[in-house]
Amino acid sequence: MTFLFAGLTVGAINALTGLGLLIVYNVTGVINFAQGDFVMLGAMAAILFAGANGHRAGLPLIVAVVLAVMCVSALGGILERTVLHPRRKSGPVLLLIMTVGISLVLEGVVLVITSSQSYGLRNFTPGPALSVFGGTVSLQSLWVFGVTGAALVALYLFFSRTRVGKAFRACEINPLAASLVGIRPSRYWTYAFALAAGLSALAGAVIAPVTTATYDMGLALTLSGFVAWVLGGLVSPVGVVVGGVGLGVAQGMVNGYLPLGLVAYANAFPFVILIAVLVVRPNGIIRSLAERRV
Amino acid sequence: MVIVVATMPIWLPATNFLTLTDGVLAGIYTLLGLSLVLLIGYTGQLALTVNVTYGLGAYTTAILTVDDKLNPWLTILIGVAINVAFALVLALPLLRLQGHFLAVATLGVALIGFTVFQAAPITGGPNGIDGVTPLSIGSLQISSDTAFAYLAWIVALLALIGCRNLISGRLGRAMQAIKGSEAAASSVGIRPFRVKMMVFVLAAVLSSVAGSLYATYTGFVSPDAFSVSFTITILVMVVVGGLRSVWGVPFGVFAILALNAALQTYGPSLIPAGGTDIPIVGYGVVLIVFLMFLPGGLASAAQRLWRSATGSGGPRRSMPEIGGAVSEESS
Amino acid sequence: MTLLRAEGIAKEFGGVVALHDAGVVVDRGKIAALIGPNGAGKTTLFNCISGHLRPDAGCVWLGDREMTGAPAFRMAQHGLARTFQNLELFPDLTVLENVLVGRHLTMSAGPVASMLRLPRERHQERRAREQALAALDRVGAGDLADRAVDQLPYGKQRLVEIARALALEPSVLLLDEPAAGLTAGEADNLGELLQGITADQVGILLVEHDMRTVMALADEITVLDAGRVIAIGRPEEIQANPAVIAAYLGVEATEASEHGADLP
Repeated sequence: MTFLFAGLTVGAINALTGLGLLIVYNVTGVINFAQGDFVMLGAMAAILFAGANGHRAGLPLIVAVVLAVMCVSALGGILERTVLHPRRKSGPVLLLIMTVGISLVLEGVVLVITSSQSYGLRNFTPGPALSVFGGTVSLQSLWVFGVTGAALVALYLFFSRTRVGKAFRACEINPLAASLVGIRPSRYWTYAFALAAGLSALAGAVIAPVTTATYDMGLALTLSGFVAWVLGGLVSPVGVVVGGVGLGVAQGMVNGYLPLGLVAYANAFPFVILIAVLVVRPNGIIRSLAERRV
Repeated sequence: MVIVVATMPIWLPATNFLTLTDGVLAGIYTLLGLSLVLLIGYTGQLALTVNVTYGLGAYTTAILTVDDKLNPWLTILIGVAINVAFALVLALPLLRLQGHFLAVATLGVALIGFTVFQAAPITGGPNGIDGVTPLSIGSLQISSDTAFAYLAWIVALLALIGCRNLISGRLGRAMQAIKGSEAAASSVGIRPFRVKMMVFVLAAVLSSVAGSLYATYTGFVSPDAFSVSFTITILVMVVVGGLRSVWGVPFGVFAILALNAALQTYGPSLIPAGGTDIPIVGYGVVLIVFLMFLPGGLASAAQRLWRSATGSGGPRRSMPEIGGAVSEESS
Repeated sequence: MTLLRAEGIAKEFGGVVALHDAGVVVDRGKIAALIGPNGAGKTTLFNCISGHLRPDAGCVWLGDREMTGAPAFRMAQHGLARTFQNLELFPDLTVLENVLVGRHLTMSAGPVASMLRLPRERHQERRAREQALAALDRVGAGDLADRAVDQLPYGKQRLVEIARALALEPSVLLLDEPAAGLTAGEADNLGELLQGITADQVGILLVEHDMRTVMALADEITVLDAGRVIAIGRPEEIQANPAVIAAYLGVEATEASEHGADLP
């Protein structure tokens, strides 16, 4: 049970990262390699604003988290505007390599500032872990579940109810038609990056008390988010969430029950799943891709 | 080119910046860069498993020379054979994926590979394997930096010429056709999957040889040399040299090695907190700057200069490569 | 003699029927044309024949060999060449190199031989170059050989694509709207070119919107509407066919009026 809760916590983060990848990809056709770095930045920014490890007195937590999300979101938009936007016609391969560059710079800058130390954030609500159904679950994990759930509901409302959200989806479905009705798809590139970065930053801020933050946590997060996305079938946000949570639970179980001799391989587990999915269902993925391209 | 290489032991240390070790590594990295140029630049396959194939070569040589006392030359061949098998197995599921998806899937492989290098009992775990037998010709041991620099660069030059020949011929055109349009390529009888498979295997062979050379050169193999960020470093070198340029590779390699040396030397005094890890930022900046302002890399810049200097040629290619002019002289 | 025959081809995409019962016949030395209103399934039928799509039902014969569902490269191996409606050239290659790709099957260099550049490969390469240049000359683009292909005007790119297909020395040539985007002069040259090609015993299948070109060139016209064949016949028969007129007027009034002069 304890492992299940740990898995759900990781899964929530996978889901949020995967959603970020999905949003960016649907609008721009780019897989943002730096998506996981936005999670890292969200965690680091929240820690910076709230005071590292509780030593330095900082802003109230809620303010720190909101501020962190806003800053990272803005950064995501700015990076898209300044770096990717001028080159957005140069094809998916070059754009992906550019996001690799962004990832390197973000990691590098944080590395220079933090000197590769890891930082923690205080729990949102202090208190001992609860025992539920024979397992223990930390209060912070409950925060993770709650915030993820709230973010998902907010996203759903945003896409289905607001004008901007609907315009977003129009860009995904048919950029040309969208531009004909006065929506400028190119502007939504920026919005998509900002939204996805903000979402990831939120994930980073809530997970920071659980995992602590290091400069190089981004790559693994990006790839886990990607696995969530692939597992979820590439097109549906619900699928991503299910995929992310499923992956997280599987990770939790693996970490809990793996025989000792194999523990060293646990990090590779999500990617083994990824390859397995690709081997078993290459057609599924190719087909949905082909449909996108037409 | 031959002269540049022949005099390397003289001019490299004279830069007071790069050492002959950098020269040896540059030869090895050129092989790795070539593998990426073939895959990414010419075939459009963003496959990022180079750290794994490189590591497989290196570990094969290390394990077989240390544990089984095999001749290191032989282990190079065995490493190649293992890598070919590995590439064939990997290619079947992976090469059906398109663009981005191939990139992320292969990065998954890169991470799995790194984890295995760290964790498998046979690789010596994080401690690695020490005491790799150096190469020797007859009774002559290739252990000095100078001797090894020559060896590495002979191999690198052969690979450069081979790749240049490949690119300009039937299969090279088929590769570039696939990059442009798989539908059109198959309409003239090209089998895209086969050609991609060939390039994948070729890339694995190049990096396997590079790995074996690296193991015999340093005498020591540990997982740190085969991390995912190593793949990214080679990618940066290739982007700087020019993704669509065979002869740009060594230039990109040297440029990044020089940048690395500069950042290691001057970086800490500029940003004290960063320590010796500053190159990462530098790589990122270089990558972005090149892709934004010089997507053809140094090769296209060189060709543009050449053209404006000689005033020759109209607009020939949208993204020029250095191949034509330089390669004819050097082969 | 029949070079290409497709019968009863059906294809649907996720429940949407694109082709129901479509077919076409191409004879040696003749130009067959495939026409029909937008969305009639012309390009889908094309792709089913050339192996770029696998038909759900029906048969495709090349000569007397059944090739149904064979992949595109195999169709090419058996003498079928094609062009694409939306131009599929290779932007990284020069014009000449694009056409040289069309010689792929007639060359044999494997990776090792290529890397070593053996004399045999060099010889092959030289011959292929001559033949590719000849194909370029034939379409009247010989002077463009060293240009970057993506910097050519649209009409010239179409010609390069035809040259690339000709470089295969095919027995059947499939052209998907070759006259689209050409100037009137270029279209006339295209007509002469196609007639020259048929004189070499090649069979041509043409998808074309420009009725003037079709009526002037085609020996036989197959009319497709809503995924099925509604008429087959010589140009003058087709022009007089009430079902064809109805299809054009009913489905797409604007297009019919554009070409109204051609339809009595």
